Amino acid sequence: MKPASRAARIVLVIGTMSIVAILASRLLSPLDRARGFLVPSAREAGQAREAFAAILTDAAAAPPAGLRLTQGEDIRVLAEAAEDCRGRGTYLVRDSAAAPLAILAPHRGSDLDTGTLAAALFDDGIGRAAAWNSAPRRGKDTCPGGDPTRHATHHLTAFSLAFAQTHPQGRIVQLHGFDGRKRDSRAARLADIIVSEGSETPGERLYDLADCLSRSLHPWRVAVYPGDVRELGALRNRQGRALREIGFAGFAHLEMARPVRRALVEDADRRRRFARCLETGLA
Amino acid sequence: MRLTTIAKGVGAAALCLAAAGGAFALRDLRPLLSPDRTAERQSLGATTRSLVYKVPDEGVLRFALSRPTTLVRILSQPNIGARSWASQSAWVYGYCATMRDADGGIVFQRDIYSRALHPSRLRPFKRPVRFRRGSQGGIALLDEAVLESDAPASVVELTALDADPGVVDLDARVFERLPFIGSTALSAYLRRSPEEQAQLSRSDAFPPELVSDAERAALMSNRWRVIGPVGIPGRDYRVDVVYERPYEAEEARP
Repeated sequence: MKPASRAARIVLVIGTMSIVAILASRLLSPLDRARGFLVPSAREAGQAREAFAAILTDAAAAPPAGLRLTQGEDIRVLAEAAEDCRGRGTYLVRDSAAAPLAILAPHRGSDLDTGTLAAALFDDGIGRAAAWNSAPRRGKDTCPGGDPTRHATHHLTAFSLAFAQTHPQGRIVQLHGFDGRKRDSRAARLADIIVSEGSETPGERLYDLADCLSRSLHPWRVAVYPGDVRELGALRNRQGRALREIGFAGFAHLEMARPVRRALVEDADRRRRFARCLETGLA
Repeated sequence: MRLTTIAKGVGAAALCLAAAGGAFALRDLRPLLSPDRTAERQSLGATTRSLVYKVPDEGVLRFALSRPTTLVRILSQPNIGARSWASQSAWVYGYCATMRDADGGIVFQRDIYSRALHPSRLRPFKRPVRFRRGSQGGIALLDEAVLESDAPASVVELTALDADPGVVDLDARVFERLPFIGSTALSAYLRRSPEEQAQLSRSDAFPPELVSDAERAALMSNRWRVIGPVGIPGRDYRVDVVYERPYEAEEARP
């Protein structure tokens, strides 16, 4: 074989490989999308983030693609169409003045009462925004299953980033639920609320929140990851990770035992004390 | 078709698959490799939190025991003002402890005075460093009192007494004995996870699996449980959070 023709063949093979790789990465969807739960591409997530930021700053802004906007008296609701359950999430934005607080319940349904609690807090006038999942964690016939907290490009991440961008001194609180009987350590089994930031080195603002909860909701036991308890630290939470990457220090991940969730939903006084702590330190 | 041509085809296909896999990996794994800009925060690293209750100068701080008992343990610690913390090394303070039976009758009452030390007085005996966030003052070392009444008590009440001028206020925690005796103590030990058993027997010379049943039962029998005050926080009692950091972590701080 002549050297020139051999080089030509090598170039041809490498070129073909490159084209195939690019086409494959562009045309083939990730497995999550194959299941039906929508995980946007990085570009789509960027567009969603810009749209959410516009929604949070401009009352006349258009919603992100795939979400429908419903205008209420003081609240705008962004939700999927009923026949288009793809797990983009449901988002509420308050137009009147409110503390720069976003209350998220990414596992409404599987973490019982967290969605109800987020809605009750928002209904009490707490926070600028609220959001929860629109598809179950595990799929059903009518809706694909998926976990928004596991995807860096999910709409919930885009919303969180947009909220941090428009409210840099604000707080984003994720409400979750845990079953103490299934935990490994005694500290986790005895805890009523586990507060974390998704980091091994939580900042002062998280301790402010934890101290307030300890004082206001005593005798509930409030534990902070990683000092008080070594479980449920939200280290794999993609919203927390994305927010830390942009330097946002107001992310808080709250794991709550079932009796705590139930009591906060049913007891308005306890919910008021809980809400006061969520708003602590916010202008 | 020659064998080398087939080999080249297979090799090219393998390379295509590897390139496609690489593209997918780059897309899906890239976020996992992104930096954590908050990783440098270490200001409160290695801390644990505990709750303490303010002992009022007027009125009482009341604790209800889970069952009538004659033994109660009290840990007290005075909070010291910043100026006194810098200039003094010990402070005298006191509190009145009252134990009542189920009918409200007094079964034990005593004024307990202690001399609390500045933690630096105990060095080089290394103790955890205890502090309160945002406070310029300090927390003196804990004092312990174990009270035994003649008759079983259901309620413990604490009231602050006179103290040195440097003492701002007094925190306390009350403990009751865990009701484990004999075989119930051993059962309670065996129900714990291996990590908890290791924690319980950490002061023993032998590893947990070599500790005898009698020692295991003793480990559970000699344990106290903290109890909370009676009433509504903020109205009937005040809760505060105290942070604790290992001595080694304090020494390593810049």
